[in-house]
Amino acid sequence: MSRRDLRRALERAAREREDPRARERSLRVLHAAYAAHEPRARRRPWRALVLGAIVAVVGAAGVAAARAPHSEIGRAMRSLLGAGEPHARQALVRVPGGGTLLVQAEGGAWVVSDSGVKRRLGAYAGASWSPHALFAVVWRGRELTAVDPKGRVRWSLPAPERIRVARWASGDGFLVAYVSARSLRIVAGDGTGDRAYRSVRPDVAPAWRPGGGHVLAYVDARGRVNVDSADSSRSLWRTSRAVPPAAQLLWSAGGEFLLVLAPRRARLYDGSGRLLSETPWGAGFAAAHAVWAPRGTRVAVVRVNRAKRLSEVAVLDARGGRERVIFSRHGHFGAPAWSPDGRWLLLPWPEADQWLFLRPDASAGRTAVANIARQFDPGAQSPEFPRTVQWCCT
Amino acid sequence: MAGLADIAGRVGREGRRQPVMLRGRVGEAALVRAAQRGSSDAVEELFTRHWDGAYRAALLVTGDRAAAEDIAQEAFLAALRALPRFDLRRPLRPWLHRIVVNRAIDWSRARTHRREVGAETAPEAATFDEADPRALGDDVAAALLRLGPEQRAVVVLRYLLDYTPGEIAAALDLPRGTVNSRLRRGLDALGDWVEAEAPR
Repeated sequence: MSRRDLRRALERAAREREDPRARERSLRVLHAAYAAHEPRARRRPWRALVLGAIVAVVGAAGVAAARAPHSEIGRAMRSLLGAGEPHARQALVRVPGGGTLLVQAEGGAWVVSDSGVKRRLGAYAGASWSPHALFAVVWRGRELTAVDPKGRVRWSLPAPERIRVARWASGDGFLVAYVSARSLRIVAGDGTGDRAYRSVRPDVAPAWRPGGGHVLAYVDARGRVNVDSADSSRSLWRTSRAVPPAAQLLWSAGGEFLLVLAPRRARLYDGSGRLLSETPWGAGFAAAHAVWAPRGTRVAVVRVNRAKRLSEVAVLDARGGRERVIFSRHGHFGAPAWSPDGRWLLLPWPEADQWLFLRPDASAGRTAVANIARQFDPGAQSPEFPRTVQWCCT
Repeated sequence: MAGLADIAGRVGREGRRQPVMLRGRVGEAALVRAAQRGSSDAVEELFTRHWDGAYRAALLVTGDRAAAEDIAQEAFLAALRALPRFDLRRPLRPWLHRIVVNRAIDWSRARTHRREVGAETAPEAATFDEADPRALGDDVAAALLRLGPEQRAVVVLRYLLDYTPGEIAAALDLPRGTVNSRLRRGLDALGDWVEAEAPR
């Protein structure tokens, strides 16, 4: 066989196995990335001068307007200039800090690699990572499914009623808890042994304690926080008081603290159920979201003052010390996500259609990425901003 | 923003705009320069020229469609990131293929590593699909996947992408003798299917 024959055989073998849609998908990604790329400027000094003058005038007006948040001029200027950070990148071409994002958007769930490559997992209503991001549990209607990061289905099962949320157990990943209507159910990580576990309040997602042991926190039908050993179905502890509506259960990275976050106050419990602190947010603020850092005892809290239309992100330490507000703007923020190394905090900002990558430990150095809605709802006439984002392991 | 017609116009002899039909005549350096200045048409033309080679090389080295797509896509994104400082005297093709093939080798090695780790510690990892050479069906592709990733890479660079052993040595950062011996062993291993032409 000649070299030419071998070349033809290799080309044919590749052609027969290639995915014809790969080219189109990659070209879309490349175009989006190119939109964020800053072209090398041609030398047109007069144009730069004129543009600079216009930017200076508009910028000065914008700054003045931004300092007067309740004025009509301020509102008009913000409307004209648009909310959000200036100099935002136009597409997500790299995830600062590495790791992989799991994004829940209106049209489905997406995985974003550290280099910004996006893959749509499918038209799911919700998604959550397995402990090492080797899989995701996804759901829509009554169907619960485990997929790998390429979207390949590993298993799927029908739930009795509509699924509201699912969470994969941390540590070994042997169990998945999910809420179907008002029933908390548990299934093995390979999709077998699906069983009803308890009746729960459906608006609060269950939370597995990190570090293994299959310890699960949930809010029962009477509104009390329960912490059980799921293996033995034994109650480890339970609160006597009911939690307010729209509460969230959040374990610290080491599993030593459970934060029960409600809009008006936060309660911090230790691993044995002892109430350590109860913190009212005060001064017109309500907590919207919180997320523990992947290591240590820091927690980032998003608070909003509805009267002033002001939101802020504060980092607190459960072991004490002063809280630090690391970012504050008009509008509302979504639920943040820490990078796996704990050096970055991804803050969704729907009104600006931006994701901000903040550096909680640095005085400067945030990165903004714009056009988020379009990137995760391509083709829609009015693209929706993604609902949630989770950031997992390097 | 400059369109492709603008680029064609600049390189046209008569100094006026040429129709987009002239795409094939626009030199690569002109396209890279136009891309540096903000022409998305130039970026698309560069992608069109190089996608097949990059994707197919990754596909034959990894044996995995999704991985090949990711690798080729990431190589183009890397090229995009390097665009502002790209040396116009250097051809884009070997630069791109060097990234693709090295990442495909890395991916193939990592897959082997994941399989070992998954079997011992992570029960969920054990359920990942493995690329099964038998499932590929085609003899040459199946035979190729029986080689190690480094051997697959040199065979693909030599016989699919038509690089010389010297160019392969530079791309993979290997001595030329190693490239020749890998080519020879690779072709031997392809066995009866290929009556190998000995590398020179």
